[in-house]
Amino acid sequence: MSEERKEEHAEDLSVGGPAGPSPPDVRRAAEEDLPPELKAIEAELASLTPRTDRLDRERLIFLAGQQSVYRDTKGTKGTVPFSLRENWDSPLRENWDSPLRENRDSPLRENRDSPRVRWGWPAAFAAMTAVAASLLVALLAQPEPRVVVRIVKVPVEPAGNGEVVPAENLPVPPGEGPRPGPLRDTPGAFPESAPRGGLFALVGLDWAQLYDRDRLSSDTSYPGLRDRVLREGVDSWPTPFPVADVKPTSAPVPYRKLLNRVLGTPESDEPVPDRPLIQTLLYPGANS
Amino acid sequence: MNAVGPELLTRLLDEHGAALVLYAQQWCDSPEDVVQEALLQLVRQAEAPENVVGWVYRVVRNGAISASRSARRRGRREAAAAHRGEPWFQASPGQRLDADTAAAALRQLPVEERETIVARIWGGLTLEQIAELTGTSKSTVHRRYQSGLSALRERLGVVCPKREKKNTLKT
Repeated sequence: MSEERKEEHAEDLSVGGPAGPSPPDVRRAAEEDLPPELKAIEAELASLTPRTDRLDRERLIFLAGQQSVYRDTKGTKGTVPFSLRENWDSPLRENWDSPLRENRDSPLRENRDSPRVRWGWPAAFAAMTAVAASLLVALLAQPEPRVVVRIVKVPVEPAGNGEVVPAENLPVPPGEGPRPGPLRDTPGAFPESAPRGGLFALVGLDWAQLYDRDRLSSDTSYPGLRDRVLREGVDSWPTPFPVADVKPTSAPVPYRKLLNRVLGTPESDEPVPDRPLIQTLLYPGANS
Repeated sequence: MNAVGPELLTRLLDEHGAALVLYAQQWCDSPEDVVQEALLQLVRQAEAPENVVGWVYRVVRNGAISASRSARRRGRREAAAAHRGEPWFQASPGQRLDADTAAAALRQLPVEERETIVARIWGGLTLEQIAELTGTSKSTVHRRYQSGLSALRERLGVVCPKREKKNTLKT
């Protein structure tokens, strides 16, 4: 490309004109400063022509048309052009001419590049991530549920004047023995080496209750047995059952007398006259 | 001011496309992509820049340097772009210099001098435009230009025509 032609192009493509001195003047001044031997090498180099086959002209014009459509319609940036050289040996290059690629470069793709579509999924993802993070923080920050053991003493019976009487002070019904007091108050009821904590406290078993149960298991009185059955079930009933020593108060009553009492007939020791008839009716096959 | 139309783009491609590729090749190994992206970026502009050629050269320069840095990050050897085996110039019957020899001599120059020579000779930019493009003063550009030409003259062995005439007259 000759120097004169270059000057013309520089002038033509400068749309608004360069600021400052015009390019030909500057250029002329620069050329005047060059010694003749450098002008010679400059002219020799200018005779060389750069390669013109490296730009894909048709594809560039096609992409420029697309960009101009984007620019005129929405003013947004277009698609990023593919790499001519870096992807030349790529195995994906065979798909360049596929319909998928054509669709990717088509003007209809601008719908996928619209702000609503472009920011919709990221916004939804960000919102869901924020919700998940807040839930996680709330889960980690909440206090552990504490088990509070409260012992509530319920009065058994109210007194007449409305006062609450403890169970130990209730009157003992007749026929029952004296109500046993708490064993833990009895001196010598526990061994000296009785454990007070550790595994017993862990499983919630009271050592004093354990000793009470042993003591109550040997109690065969009615209140003791009742409490034991209520506490441990029927299986804890001692066998054999205690049988009451009942003695017959009178002589056994004969059958005939009982029958007469039931039928309301007067009692007499005389035999019944119609006895054969009754026997015949009751036992038809029997011989009298 | 209107946007860049197809006529202006076609003219840019015809008159400066090859020089732009050669200019971008001073830094990166994919100059076609850089030039293509620069021209598409020009098309995307709502209004054409005041100096279209200078604007495109600046965008190409920035893109080529950026691509060179990316290539360097990928572990490629520095200045591998300038030493690639692809020919820079196409052979034409009227040229007096051997294209490969001239390209080899150009590759040996520092990138600042090489850039100045390419932009001046094949890009057709003025020294002031090159100074604005490279962010240096006009005198610096002039000095680089002269230094690069001197180095090329020594390597290529180009004889001054006046001295050549004198020599022929003596003989």
